[in-house]
Amino acid sequence: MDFISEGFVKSLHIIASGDREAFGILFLTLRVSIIATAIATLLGAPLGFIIGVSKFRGKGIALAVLNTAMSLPTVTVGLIVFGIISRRGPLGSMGLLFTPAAIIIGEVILALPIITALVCAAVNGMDESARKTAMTLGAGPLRAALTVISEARYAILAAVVAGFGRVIAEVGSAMMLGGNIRGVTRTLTTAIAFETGKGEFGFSFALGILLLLLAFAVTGAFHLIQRRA
Amino acid sequence: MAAAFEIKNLRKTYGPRAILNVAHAELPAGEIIALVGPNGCGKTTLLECLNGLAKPDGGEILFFGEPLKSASRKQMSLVFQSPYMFNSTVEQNVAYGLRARQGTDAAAVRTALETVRMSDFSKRRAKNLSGGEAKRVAIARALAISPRALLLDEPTANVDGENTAIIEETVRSLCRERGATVIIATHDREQAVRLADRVLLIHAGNLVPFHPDNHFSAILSQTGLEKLVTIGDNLRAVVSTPKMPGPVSCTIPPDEIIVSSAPLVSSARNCWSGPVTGITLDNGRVRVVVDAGAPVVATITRASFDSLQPTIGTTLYLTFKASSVLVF
Repeated sequence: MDFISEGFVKSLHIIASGDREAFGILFLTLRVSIIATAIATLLGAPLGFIIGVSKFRGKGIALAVLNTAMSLPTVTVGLIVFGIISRRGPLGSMGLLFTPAAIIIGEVILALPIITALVCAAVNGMDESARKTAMTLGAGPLRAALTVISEARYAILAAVVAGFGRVIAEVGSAMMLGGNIRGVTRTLTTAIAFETGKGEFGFSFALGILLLLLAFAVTGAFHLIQRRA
Repeated sequence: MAAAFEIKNLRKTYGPRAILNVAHAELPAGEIIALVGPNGCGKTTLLECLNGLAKPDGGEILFFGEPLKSASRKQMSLVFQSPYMFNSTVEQNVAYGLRARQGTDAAAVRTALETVRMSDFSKRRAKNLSGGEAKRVAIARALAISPRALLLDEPTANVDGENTAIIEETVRSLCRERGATVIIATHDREQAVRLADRVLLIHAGNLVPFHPDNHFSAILSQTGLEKLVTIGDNLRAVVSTPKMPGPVSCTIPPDEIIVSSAPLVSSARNCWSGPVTGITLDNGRVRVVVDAGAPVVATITRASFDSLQPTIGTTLYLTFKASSVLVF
């Protein structure tokens, strides 16, 4: 059991000393996660809104597919994207494999269904009279739609946070698409898996604590916004 | 002046059920018009059609002589029975309609809130208001845009007496002082008569004039193909209605009753009789009240009155068709 306590003490030292490598991994993780969440939000929020407010044949099936896609296995996503962007794949010439861009592509695919489905649920859950009320007060279809989005803003924010939580914590896709290259594509999760395999518990603990602090900071900020609202 | 709304052959169905089927109706400008009828009779649907929120299946609605279009909606507002409050302050809620018109008129917002006596609530979160307060804010939100027509769906349902009085006063002042047309859907017939210049009953999807007289609670029964309403203990009338047997309300328009001093031989299925208990003049016509087991009002012309010459206690016969009895 000593290795755990020793590792924990060592991890605190790594964090307190501002270890360059550990914090480099943290910032890379933040960068790819934020970019992936932003792209997934830009695509997923409007898509979720449209599915939420529209009435069309097969909407139930579309929602079922979306909900299923929320639990896409990360390694499956990694495998599919790997096939597409590897040298022999259709996008192989772009040289994306083992770059941060590859990790972002995988993470966008993982976050997109979550953000789309939760935004869709948020808009669906909104009182229909929000849109109708806007229209009775002279709003056109666009302004009425923006009003519904504004009214559902906290639920939409929760969808974005859930998407961010998914991408920051996943390891399978980042490992397969990024390749865990030191200083280039090594993220918190891939580094933890790698360092643990090497027996570097102290460094793994330090990264684990940083990951937890990051998750805590994001959800804390979200709760703060909700409470202020 | 053109009517605020003119309805021509309006049809609206939900699935197989026809909710509205209005051949023709005019809702005059500058008046308070109440639409009465039981729950589910189509009051809300009619308001939504008038506002352009619901698309009729057929027919046409004219708004001040012009076909209803999206621009018409900017000149009117509809307040729902359970108004939705935007997730912002009361003041921002009231300013919504002005912002939608690319304008922010603080004075208009202030005046609207003063009208419904909600000025002290302007900085409060609208979501935290009580039901009655929310309705007042919803009305202020509609007033802020200075509508030519205001449509109110059950504005005082589930509202306490104090809030009801404020809402009714607001409606009166909007119509009298600003000349707006106010259309109120309500199931409260007393309120309709108290507040409105004109009361229309939605009956079988159509709009028919509503008279405050001759309203009865009755039991509808069926014998073979014939349907009867029983009012009180033994006052019965043959009716023509698709409604199923059970407790109902019914009304007999006073001007659809033929008054005679002897029983008439006619195709009309109903004939009641009783002594005259009241005679009054009403807009050049004579209003005769006959105790037929319940007080029944019939309006006749002055000439008819002169030929019958009834006095208090004279027995009169009241004849009316089964289809004249509106059952709802």
